[in-house]
Amino acid sequence: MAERNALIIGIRNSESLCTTIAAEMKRAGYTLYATYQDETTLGGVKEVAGDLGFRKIFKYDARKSEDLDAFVAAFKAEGVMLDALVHGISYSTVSGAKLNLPLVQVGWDEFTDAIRVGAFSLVEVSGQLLDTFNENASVLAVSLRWGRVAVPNFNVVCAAKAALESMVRGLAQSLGKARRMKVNGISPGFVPTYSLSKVGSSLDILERAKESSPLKTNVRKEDVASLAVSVLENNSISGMIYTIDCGVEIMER
Amino acid sequence: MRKKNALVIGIANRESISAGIARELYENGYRIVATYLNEKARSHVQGVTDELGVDEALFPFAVGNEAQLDSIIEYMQEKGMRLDVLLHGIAFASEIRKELHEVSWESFRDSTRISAFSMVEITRRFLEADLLNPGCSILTLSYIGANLAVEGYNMMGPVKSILEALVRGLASELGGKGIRVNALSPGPVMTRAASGIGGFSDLIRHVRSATPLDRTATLEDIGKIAFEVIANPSINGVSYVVDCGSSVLVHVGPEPQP
Repeated sequence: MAERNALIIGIRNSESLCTTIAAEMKRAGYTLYATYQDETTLGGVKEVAGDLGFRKIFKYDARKSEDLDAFVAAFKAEGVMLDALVHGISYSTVSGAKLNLPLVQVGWDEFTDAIRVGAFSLVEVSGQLLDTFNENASVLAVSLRWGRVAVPNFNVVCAAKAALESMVRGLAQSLGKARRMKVNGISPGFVPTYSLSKVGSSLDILERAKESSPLKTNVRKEDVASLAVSVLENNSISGMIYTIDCGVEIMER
Repeated sequence: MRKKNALVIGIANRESISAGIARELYENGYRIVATYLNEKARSHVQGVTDELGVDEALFPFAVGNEAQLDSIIEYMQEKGMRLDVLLHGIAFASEIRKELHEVSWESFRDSTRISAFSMVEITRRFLEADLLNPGCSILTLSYIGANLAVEGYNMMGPVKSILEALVRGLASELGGKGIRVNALSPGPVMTRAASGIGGFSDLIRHVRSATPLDRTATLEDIGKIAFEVIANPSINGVSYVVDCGSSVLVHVGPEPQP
């Protein structure tokens, strides 16, 4: 089988959901490339890159145009064609992000950062790397139920996720037209990551999710990764957001 | 030796979506028990099940016929089989060609039983007989007409809405037993059931023009994601649409030239 290449944006450390997805993609035979946000996360990403044998990692802080340009240029210089792009970055893990604020106290600058990191970066990266995607390549974004509900003090993240899900549909159309690419999202229930620890007590949040699931279980990262690869490789799925949450979402509360 | 068992209700012939999923299950090591609707359908179903090692585990079943369910249950008890997968892929609407406002209550009621509530009835019988393994996965087949009014789909839209609500209801009730319940909502596939829907070839053409992928969902792709949903322990209570994006993308402008 011909070599298949994937770019993963959204790894912070070995706990990241994107790390588990990367591991599953590795098993499926992809050669992997990834990004890291900045020097503060380089160590964690390097460790994952070593474990999973990434071909190369690139610095990319999604708030900065100069980072985008440099990363895109460096990736293009690799001269490889992509079969998959996974996007799993959210504003909640960005260094210096002001979280835990009511909307009325959120300034325009923070808001634009949140939207650019959590959503528009998907447009920027897939658009600027368009020439490096193979026909039928697949894009997958990691969303969250928060894109469809209000969450006190985290509505900036909610807005970004709402935009992200809309961009999944928009890109399914435009990248589909341009290169017959498929674009989808997955919306997992809570899993223990650095991102979760930034929004509250991980243990409490996970315990509550477990209680409200009919199965009385939490979502496993491996299951999310398995679904991620299934969706990436399926030529009949595009424009979708698939929830995987052990049934938490369907329960009245 | 095949250790996991799947009961597949809904094969009409080799183009059936249930047949595509049964093939995927078989390839993944499941032992298949299947049903056919009536004698008229039997040979068509057998053409599919012969290749899936079904052999004697092929039973007639029409919704409401408890004796027929008894036979399946007795067979499984004799063989010491319990179910790991229950695939519900049946639907019927006698007045499918009528506009919704013309539909009679009798037709709507019967369609609701065959296409939706039968999932509850069948599940109940196998639960009572203690034939569902913990971790058992129930999958049914829905259609985007549950969420959108699709011309020609008429009365089946609300019936599929009922089905999807029953998926959530069963998922919430059976989770405690470790049983998961989900739906798959494929885009239009030219099946025997679909041939009863008015303007179906127009629908296929519309769907193709709505998605830039310029194709409709294939049986093989539907089978693959069905298997992921069946096998993934974290997927519960969902209805995944598999339609090349056609239901969420709005095509504006002339139809692409063929």
